[in-house]
Amino acid sequence: MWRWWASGIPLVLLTLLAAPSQATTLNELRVAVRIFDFMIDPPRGRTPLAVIFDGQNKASQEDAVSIGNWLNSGISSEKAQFIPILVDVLHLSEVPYVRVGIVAGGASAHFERVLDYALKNHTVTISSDMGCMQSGICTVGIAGTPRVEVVINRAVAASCGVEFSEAFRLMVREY
Amino acid sequence: MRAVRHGAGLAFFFLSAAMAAAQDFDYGRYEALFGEPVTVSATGKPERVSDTQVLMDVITAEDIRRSGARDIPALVRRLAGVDSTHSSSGEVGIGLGGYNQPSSGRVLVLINGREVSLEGVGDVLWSTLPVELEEIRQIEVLHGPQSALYGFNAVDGVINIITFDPVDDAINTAKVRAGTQDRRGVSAITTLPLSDSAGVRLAAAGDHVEDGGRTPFTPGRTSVSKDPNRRAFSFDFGARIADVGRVSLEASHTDVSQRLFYTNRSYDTRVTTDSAKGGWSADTPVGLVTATMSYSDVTMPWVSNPRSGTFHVDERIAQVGLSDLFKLGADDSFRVGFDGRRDRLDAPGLISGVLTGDLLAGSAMWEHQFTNSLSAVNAVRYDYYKLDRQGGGDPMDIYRNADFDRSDQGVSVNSALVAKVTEDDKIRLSVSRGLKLPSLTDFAQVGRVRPLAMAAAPIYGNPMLRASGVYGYRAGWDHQFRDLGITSRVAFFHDMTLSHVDSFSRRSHGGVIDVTGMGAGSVSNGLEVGFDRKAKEGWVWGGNVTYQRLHEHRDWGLRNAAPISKANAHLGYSWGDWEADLYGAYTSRTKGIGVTGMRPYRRQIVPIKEYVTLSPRLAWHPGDMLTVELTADNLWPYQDSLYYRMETSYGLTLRLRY
Repeated sequence: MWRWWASGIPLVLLTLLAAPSQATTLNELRVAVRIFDFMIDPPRGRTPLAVIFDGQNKASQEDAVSIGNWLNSGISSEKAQFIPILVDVLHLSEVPYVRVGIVAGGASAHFERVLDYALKNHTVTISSDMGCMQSGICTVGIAGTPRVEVVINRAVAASCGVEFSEAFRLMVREY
Repeated sequence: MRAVRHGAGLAFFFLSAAMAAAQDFDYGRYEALFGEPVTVSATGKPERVSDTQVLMDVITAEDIRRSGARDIPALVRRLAGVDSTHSSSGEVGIGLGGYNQPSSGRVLVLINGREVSLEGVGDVLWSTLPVELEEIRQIEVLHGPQSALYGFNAVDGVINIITFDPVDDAINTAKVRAGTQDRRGVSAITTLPLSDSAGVRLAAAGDHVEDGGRTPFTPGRTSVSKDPNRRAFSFDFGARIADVGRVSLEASHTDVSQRLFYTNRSYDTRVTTDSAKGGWSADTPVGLVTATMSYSDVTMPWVSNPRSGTFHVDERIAQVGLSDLFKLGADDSFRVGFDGRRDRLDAPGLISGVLTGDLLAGSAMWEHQFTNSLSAVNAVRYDYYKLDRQGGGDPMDIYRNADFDRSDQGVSVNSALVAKVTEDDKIRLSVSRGLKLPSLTDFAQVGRVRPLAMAAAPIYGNPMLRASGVYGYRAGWDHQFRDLGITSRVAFFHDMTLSHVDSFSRRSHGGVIDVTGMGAGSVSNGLEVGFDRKAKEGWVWGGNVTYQRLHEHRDWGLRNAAPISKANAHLGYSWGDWEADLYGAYTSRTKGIGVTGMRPYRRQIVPIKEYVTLSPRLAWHPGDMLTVELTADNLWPYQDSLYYRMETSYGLTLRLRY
């Protein structure tokens, strides 16, 4: 367990660096964590949240650190307080069960590992990289600008056993 | 497989229940998610306001807070395409799309989906609505016929008042206000959380104003005067219960006394309303199922005029219904619904006997997303209406009970599409057919209420009246000037009413009487242009211009009485603890029916002058809890009807949020 946890520690040092391109914005993170509330069985209380990044991509690492810091600063959903766990996608398979995950930008080189983990653990994964959802990896893709967009990949959601409320499905686009 | 499950489930619900569509929906949570208002009023499906295919305006809680308005009509009239006519200190009519005649019953008004329009008399008594401005999350105004979702009488549009959620929104305010014309009012709203997922909101209010604003044409000006008094109490409970869904229970009571204007006479009137509504919605295997039941009792213990005598009115409305919303595939959403309603009117002196109107309706909606930037919605509804009268025996009656043993039916449709042309441009097109049903008094009025000098003949109802088709065509273009934070809209409408309730003279009981009948129709065309810049800090501004022409095919003097052009403007600035706002309005001249003040009474068509008026507001927030607000209404007095003059008034409001 120490390996996946330790893999995230050096990334804290990267917080002082400039924000990477394709980075998840604070607004997108707020949208992402709120989406968890619209699951049929939403996470409640203190809930570990995997922030999945590509350790070989500096921009992806920086994005993950930003997400982790924002979550630690109190960005949470209505029902759950998320405890960020920064996970290098190369070590994702070693991570014990985590129910919710956010895929940082720039992790596309190893998307298949994200899907493997999500299928195995019934994990709902959200990313501001719409390509993750469009390529059938992430359950939900989000965009914060020019307006908030939420797109559910129905096939991934069904495969992972993730269900959202009907009202939520009616409000968002499905892919 | 899913389709099979849906079909079986729907069959079960249609066979087993008698409940109505409702709006037990988490507005706040979705608004927080998407960063913009959301609605279920447009198509019956939850959606973002910017996504809806229907042309609608939303007045948000922030708009209300900065409006300086004392009531809902004062807010709504600032929108494009809205007309208002004041008949007394407590009475105002709101019209959409060029129709602004009082008691026309063409705009459906709802509170959280519960109908508050009085179908019995075809009117909305705004002062009797059991809602305080601070309780309102948003006011949704839909333009054009919406009968395919709401049934009879939503032909010019729908105004749906959505209140805050007692589960999620802690509204705790106390307000005291005073002003000229003896205006005084107090209200208190408190929200009591019962748990993380349940809460109750209680609201109580009292208002008073003197019955001023009389004009030389105010009828009964020496005999009937009534300072409007209003008392209101409401209770709103909500809970989200695991494995059960969301449940709600609303109850309210209002007691209003005011001068009421009806058929060119003023009446000293007291109106009490008692209402209750229960709602339930839940995610089920067949989709989002929503059901409500509501009951309203509107009593006018006295409606009194020295010349017409005194009568009383008791209207009871029970509504039930059920709807199911579900999505098939990624691009198709459906709604099916069943509605039932009973309207019972007991008004000795106004009608003979007890009249009931029973309504059964089934509706369906299909929305299809063609691409990310193009979607369309089609809705259809079938309404069956059964009229019945029991009792009777009024010596002035000209009908038998058997004459009322009849029914009417009709189909309403709405088709609309929205196309996102660019990231900043949206085009909306809609075609709709609505149905306007005459009011119960149109069906059954006996000739005691004789319009002053309108004619020598008393007016009688007619059970043979039929629902009239109303066709609406609308096109709108929304553009966002993103860099400037400005949204703009250009909209065009063409509405056609095939037939209006009219009156026709005939001989009966040895004299001439006027009997209601289906008369000639009308056409209304209009162009609306509006823009808005909203911001938390600094400058906010906006405005709209409406140009409309009403062509009524029968000329009895008041034809085409709607003002042709109107403009509204708002300029506001906030700095530190201060806010300043200025609202302006222009309305072109119109006309009304005047009655000479001395015998022999004679009717005449009298022009009503165009007007410009200003209403400034200055607010100071010393801390997070207290607001001190100075307002002035109508810096230049004006008239929007012959019978009432909107005088300048000044007010001071202290509002405490805790």
